[in-house]
Amino acid sequence: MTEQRRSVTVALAAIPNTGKTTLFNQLTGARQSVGNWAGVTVARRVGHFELGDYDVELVDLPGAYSISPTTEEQRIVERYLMQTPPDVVLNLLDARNLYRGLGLTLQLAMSGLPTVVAVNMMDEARRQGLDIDIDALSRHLGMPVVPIVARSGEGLEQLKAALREVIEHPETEHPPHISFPPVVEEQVMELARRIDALPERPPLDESLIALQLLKGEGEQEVLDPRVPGSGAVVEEAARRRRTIEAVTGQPFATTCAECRFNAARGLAMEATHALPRVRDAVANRLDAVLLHPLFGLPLFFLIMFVLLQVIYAIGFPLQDAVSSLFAALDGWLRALAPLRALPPLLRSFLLDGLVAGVGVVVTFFPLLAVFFVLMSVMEGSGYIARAAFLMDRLMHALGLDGKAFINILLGYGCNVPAVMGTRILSSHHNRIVAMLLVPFSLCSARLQVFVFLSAILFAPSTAALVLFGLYAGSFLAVVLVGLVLKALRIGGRPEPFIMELPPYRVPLLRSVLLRAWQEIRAFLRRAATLILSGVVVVWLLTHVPADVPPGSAGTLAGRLGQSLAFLFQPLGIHWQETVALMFGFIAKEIVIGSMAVIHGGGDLAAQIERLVTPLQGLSFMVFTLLYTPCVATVASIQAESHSWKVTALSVGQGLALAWLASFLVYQGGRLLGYA
Amino acid sequence: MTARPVLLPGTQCVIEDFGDDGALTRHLLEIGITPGLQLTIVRRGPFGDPVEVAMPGTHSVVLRSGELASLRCRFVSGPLAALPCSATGRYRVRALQGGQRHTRRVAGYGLRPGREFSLLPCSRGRYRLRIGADAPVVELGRGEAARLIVEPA
Repeated sequence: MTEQRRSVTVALAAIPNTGKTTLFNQLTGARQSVGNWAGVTVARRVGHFELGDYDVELVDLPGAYSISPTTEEQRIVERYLMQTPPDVVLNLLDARNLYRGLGLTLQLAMSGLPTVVAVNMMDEARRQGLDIDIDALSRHLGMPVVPIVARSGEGLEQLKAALREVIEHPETEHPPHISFPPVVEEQVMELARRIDALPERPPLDESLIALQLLKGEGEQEVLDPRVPGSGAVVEEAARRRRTIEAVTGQPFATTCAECRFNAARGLAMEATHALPRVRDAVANRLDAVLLHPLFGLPLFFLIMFVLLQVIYAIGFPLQDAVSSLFAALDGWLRALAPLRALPPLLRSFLLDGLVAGVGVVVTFFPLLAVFFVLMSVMEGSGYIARAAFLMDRLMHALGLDGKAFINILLGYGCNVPAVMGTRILSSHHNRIVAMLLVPFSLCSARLQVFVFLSAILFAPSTAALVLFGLYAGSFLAVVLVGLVLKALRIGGRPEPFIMELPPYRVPLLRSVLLRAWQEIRAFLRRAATLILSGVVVVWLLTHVPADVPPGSAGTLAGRLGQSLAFLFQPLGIHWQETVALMFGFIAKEIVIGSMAVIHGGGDLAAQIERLVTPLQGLSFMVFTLLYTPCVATVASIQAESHSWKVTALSVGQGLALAWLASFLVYQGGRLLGYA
Repeated sequence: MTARPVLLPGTQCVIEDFGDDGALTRHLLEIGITPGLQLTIVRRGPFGDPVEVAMPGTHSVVLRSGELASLRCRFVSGPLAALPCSATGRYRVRALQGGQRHTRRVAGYGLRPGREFSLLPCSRGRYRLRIGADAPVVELGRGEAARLIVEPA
């Protein structure tokens, strides 16, 4: 039976906020894989479903308003369609946002690729009193148009039937003609003829290729520069563009968009008999409260506070539960006879290196789940765009947009999901800058260290002040580093900020859970190896040679700590604590435990009180606050940025800032007369 | 030719052209914000920025006012305070907003919906209006001007 099955590729293309992910999940179920588009930080999702005799590979293209290289997402879509065109395009429209969505639909129609259009959110449109004339749309677009409700699955069978029909008979489509001013039509036709004569070109309609070239941007995505004659065509396009602009008196991009959206407006009017009123009463009332000039921000902070509380109330106890399960497993393994028979070093490697590393990875699962459930509820409900609206002015000062604030704030719960969450940000620049700033937010693991140490070293009232000071320091570090990164233009050029305010929606449970599951899988696949390697390296440092106690003066770490004394002496940090900082690379929680081991057991609190002065302790805490958060954060930064340079920069800036700040604290304190 | 209106909530204007051909312009064009489209300023962020802009038939969009600076938009209607002092000329009162006392006082000047008036150059930050040829000049402060909705006559 498999011999008759044919595989076809369908690309799902839509502008943002059309319910694309919901439709993708509905069509493919859990049969999907998440990766990245080559060399960029944008997620690439591919899923599969069966359609009669066909195996359909569904490629989820990033949300794009247009086939042109203005944003990273759009560049990906353009490159994909031009260089590896799919068999069929499935274009999704939001019934209440037809005008804007049709801009892309018309470009897709001009490409000559067989296309099926699905109009989503028909239920919400009906509720708003919108009656959409699907037949009129289909007639004018010359392609099948299917009304659907992706959330409930309504119309999906008809959509599949339409897809199948187009796969089998792609020739029945007759794309519409968009009318341009005569000079444009003429120049496009002549340029199209030249493109047609090229030995090699994208298998799309030559008029669309001509239009793309005439825009004078990203030609290399459209025509392979290695094809003989392509350079001449690109030059000719530039010449013809000047001819057009001389006649129309405006940039060609404007003319092009005007014609396309005039057609889109006409179509939308024809299909709805009037331009729909997009804002419904409920959304208006919600926005009036949530975006209120005075109450909007306090409400936002209240919501974020509740979110962090949920992470603390559910995420961390779950993490602790998994940790203790793992500790039980560890105890059981340690008692196991075959393992006891192994040479001590090998046994220690297995238990303190590998098993401990796996433990670090696994204990993140519940936290990631809670975190991404909350994150996708925020995203799916439409609130995240509102939050971005409220915070944009402040974050703009750091060269970021308002959304990035949420990542940095959630970093105060845990840095790892906060770094992974940078994927929702809107440009490469914002993602890179945000993931460089997140590690300075004081996460719960660091808080544990600070609470423990400050309780030993300071009187209760002073300890509270110290904790407050550390939070303030963390905030200050985010702002200062943000300003420096902005001045240095790390992360490239910022893109202009344009954000649609999507309607409010109740998030779908299924989508929310699927998202949490996918994030855990992505973490496991992309970050786990690096985390495990990091833990093993730390094991190696602290457990070799085997004939001395772990972490003691004789181990590699002990010797390294002693030879680094010249760096840490000015900070008031003894070599024992330097070793604890190395342990802290695995996870901040274990800093305390490792100190107990390094100091050779006994009452840790008493030993610390005896060995460390309050000022030295403060310097140690400042260093802990700012230096590399943990191996899992570093691994996530590497996985998200796909760049060792960014990863190295993150580690380097953390260490440098930590050293500098600790130096200032310790030496400043001594000048003031503290010990 | 009216000067560029201030982006005050309630202002409606029609895009005439984009001052330049930069990345922002391209991006605006791609989401269907083209010359001839009527925009409505819905609200501004808590610190005066960004700006929510609504347009017919499609979801509203959030933009930064700095990035909108080069956009030329013809004033269609909106609060008088959205007009810069240089935007002298004939206007018509479209609506009065605000509390009863304010509306009664403004109506007392003769500024009722439908009435036309001439906008004179401002003086000391106050808007100066003349309703009839011999009528006395009415002065309005920013707060009052923000609640007087006008359109070009």
